[in-house]
Amino acid sequence: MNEFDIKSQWESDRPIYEVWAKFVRDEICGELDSAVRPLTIGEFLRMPVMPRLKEINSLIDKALFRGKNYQDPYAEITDKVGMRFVVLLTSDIKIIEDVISVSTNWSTSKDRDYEEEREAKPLEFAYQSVHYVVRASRDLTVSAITIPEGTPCEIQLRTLLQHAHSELTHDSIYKSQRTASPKTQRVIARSMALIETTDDFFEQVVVELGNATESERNATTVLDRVYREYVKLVPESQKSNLLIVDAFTDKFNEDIEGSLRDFLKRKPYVIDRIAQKANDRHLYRQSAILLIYLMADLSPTVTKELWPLTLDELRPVYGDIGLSIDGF
Amino acid sequence: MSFDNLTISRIVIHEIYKRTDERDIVPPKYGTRLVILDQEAVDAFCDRIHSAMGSAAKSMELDIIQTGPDSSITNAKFLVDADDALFIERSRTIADKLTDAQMRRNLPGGVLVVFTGTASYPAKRIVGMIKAETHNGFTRRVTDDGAISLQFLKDLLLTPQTKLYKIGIFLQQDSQTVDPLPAGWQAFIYDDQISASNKLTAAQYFYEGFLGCGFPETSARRTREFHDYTKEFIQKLDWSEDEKIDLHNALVTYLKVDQSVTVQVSDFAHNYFPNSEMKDEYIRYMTERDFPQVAVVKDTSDISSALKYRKVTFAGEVKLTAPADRFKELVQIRAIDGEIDEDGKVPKWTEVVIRGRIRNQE
Repeated sequence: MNEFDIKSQWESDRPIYEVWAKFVRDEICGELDSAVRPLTIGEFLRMPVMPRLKEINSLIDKALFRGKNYQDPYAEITDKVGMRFVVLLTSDIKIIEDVISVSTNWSTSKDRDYEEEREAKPLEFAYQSVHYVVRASRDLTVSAITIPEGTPCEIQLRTLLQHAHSELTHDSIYKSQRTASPKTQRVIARSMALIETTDDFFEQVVVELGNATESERNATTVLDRVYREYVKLVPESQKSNLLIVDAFTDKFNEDIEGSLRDFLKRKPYVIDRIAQKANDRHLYRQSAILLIYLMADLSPTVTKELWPLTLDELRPVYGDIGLSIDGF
Repeated sequence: MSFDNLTISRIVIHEIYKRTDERDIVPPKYGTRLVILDQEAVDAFCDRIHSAMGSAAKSMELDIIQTGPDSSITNAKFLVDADDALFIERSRTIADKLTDAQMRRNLPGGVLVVFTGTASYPAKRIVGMIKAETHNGFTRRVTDDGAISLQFLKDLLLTPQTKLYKIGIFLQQDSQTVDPLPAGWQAFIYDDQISASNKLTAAQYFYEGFLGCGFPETSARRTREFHDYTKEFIQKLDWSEDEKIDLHNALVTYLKVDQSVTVQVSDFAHNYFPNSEMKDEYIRYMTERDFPQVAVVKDTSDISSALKYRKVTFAGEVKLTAPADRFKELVQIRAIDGEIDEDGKVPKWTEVVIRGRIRNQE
């Protein structure tokens, strides 16, 4: 293949690759949506995922002028289209890997794995990223365009810190024939070592925070579930939700779900009150509203004492279940 | 009964006036249509009722005494079933009745709010009557040129200032009964002047003259229950006996020395228990024993002897008796370490200090 062949082939293939990449992205994001709850996908992915087609000049450059020794350069270049997922934690990368590997619409191969590279070169601190190439497992028709079996798409997975490192060095070092000075290389390696260490620390912090807030998270899960079931709305989980759950963590007994169901059986009208007010009152769209009613019913004095917001918000809750808040 | 699950269906208001200097009646100015409130206003209206009638508020249940054709309970029974036109029409009778009941010249006029709705679960029908006195205040006003200024308002009513309204609510407990009134109905009242000590006569025109109610015959029994259950609760606390002395003293003080006309669970909890957890635990304990959360008229006739003397029994059948209301002042009791016994253990002894000499012994 010469320059001209590659150019005309690519020009006719571009729409296929474009549709294929969007298809891959949408499927991964769709699966991630449920995998990362209670986070939203917008919170989980630290940068928007935008499929990118290789520029024709860059393709020709890579195919013919970088000494790559391809037999069939056009077919062997697997990153003609690609996308990048940037996440906060190394453990987040695993979540995306799991999602990628279960799809039946493509076959998967891992082309780069920084963990394997660490094993292979324990003394080196270089560019780190996970690269997958997925290939259509059969001819797929998307948006009236047929994507032939085997059409590749590259997916890069990185932490924010790995991404920062790569932004700094990628164009100038990794693709460059001209080597940076030993001194510069040393600085780059040191910063990668620091990043690897920091990524581990981040992971540790998240695990420790997770342990510390386990009871809050469990309570939130229960509250969300009961809210969905009774109020028949999807609860929001704004910061105030956590603030309220946090304030009462020490006070509710282990079986919060049992107490809640018992309470709603005794005072089922509370559900209607919540549903009515959910429309125009923020607090009634948070699942913690259930906890407030329950706490007010069980321990009105303690609840008033620990209440993290103003009494104006608590007053109607007490009123609904027949309590005069000023008496406590 | 705590007026949970409250809904308001209809409201009408009438204006009533105080008597002339010659003690003649000034006829009320009648409202002619239902009052329509938006959601925010309804919420505020309900909030006033909860503040006054909710559990932990100083409302109380009274006995319905007057049941004649022009009694308030008869009016209430009529109103729950009446259509809107009849509701407005009949509510005038209630305004007349309140005007009649205001015999003394110093009783202020105000607005009478008559409403129907439901409360409790399963929902029961209610008829409420609020006498709201007007007071004054300010609101801020933005002038045409954008400046902020104060505007004086002299007809404010039903603000959170509960001193300025009295509420009577009749609740239809049983709509099926065929027994004559007051069967099937309960009456609840909030009047700041009842809970304030020594103002009972000032409140009488409202709860008796107007609503036709009287203090319940069960007051003595309820007061005894309050005493007994509270004592039980204190006994069951995981505290040492000498730590409980203060709480026992507090109970006597509350029932005997405190001047208020009523006793109430949350009021006692609020004033005498050391922390919120214990307050809630006490409220739960009393609720489980079906003791009302609202105020109960204090009548200590069934427990006069228990309130007269406090008795403390020690190991070895040693007994101490002291006047209950002066116990705290005359007797100090403190746990101390005793002398090591044969097993090498330190027993707990009690040190008693009595402010006074021995006057007599047998």
